[in-house]
Amino acid sequence: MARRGAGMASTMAGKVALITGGSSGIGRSASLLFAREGARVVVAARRIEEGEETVHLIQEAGGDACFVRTDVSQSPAVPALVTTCVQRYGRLDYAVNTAGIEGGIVPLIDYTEEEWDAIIAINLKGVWLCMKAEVRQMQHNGGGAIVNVASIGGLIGFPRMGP
Amino acid sequence: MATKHGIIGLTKTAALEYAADNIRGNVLCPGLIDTPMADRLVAGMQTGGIDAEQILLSLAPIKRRGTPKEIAAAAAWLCSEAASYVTGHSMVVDGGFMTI
Repeated sequence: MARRGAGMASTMAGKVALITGGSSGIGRSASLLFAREGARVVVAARRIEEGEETVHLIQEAGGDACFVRTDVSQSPAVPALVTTCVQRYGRLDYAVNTAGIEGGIVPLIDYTEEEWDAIIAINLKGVWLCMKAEVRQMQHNGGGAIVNVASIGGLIGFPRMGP
Repeated sequence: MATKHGIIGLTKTAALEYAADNIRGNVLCPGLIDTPMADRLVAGMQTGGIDAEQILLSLAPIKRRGTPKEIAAAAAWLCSEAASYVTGHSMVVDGGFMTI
């Protein structure tokens, strides 16, 4: 396996990675990089066309990936995603949970309960649901690594971005 | 912000609970990255002729948006064996924004 990641201490050959939010932005970029490092990648996202495009880009570059349409806020869908991962590639070594949405830029007291609940469901409950299924599989295959993508907004406050 | 703070707490808890199972858990905290989401957020922050993008960029020593690749590289490192002693950590990749 060619070492293409300059400065990487090890390749990901033989590893299986699950990337949520793999349809665009950081999730797509992580999907492409992990595949280039030799991992087989399961790309999960809500948007089918964009998610399949990520897989197409990986395959075009000679990598191995598949797309699983997933809404991470839906509890039956998330364990099913990890099951698909294992059925397809046999194990799960890495999980990068990037799936998330942004809310409106409005003061805390003006957020509607509906919008608050929707953001919590995807950005927080979704990460928990993913970790639940990922950790169980990683326990089964003897270990693993999880990276949850938050924001510098996880460390400080920003006005009008409450949830 | 609430969900992002929450992710950090959740990940630290997982790091403590599952280290014995050889599972590491870490958080990435990106700053302003060149993504569709950042475009929407910056657009939403524009009020009364204020250039939100320029204000945000002026607050970091590296005065440009980060690339998704720069965040992906950090994620790859955190997953790799090179980070085998790193767990429960929140890694900031933000062009220095948080140093101010």
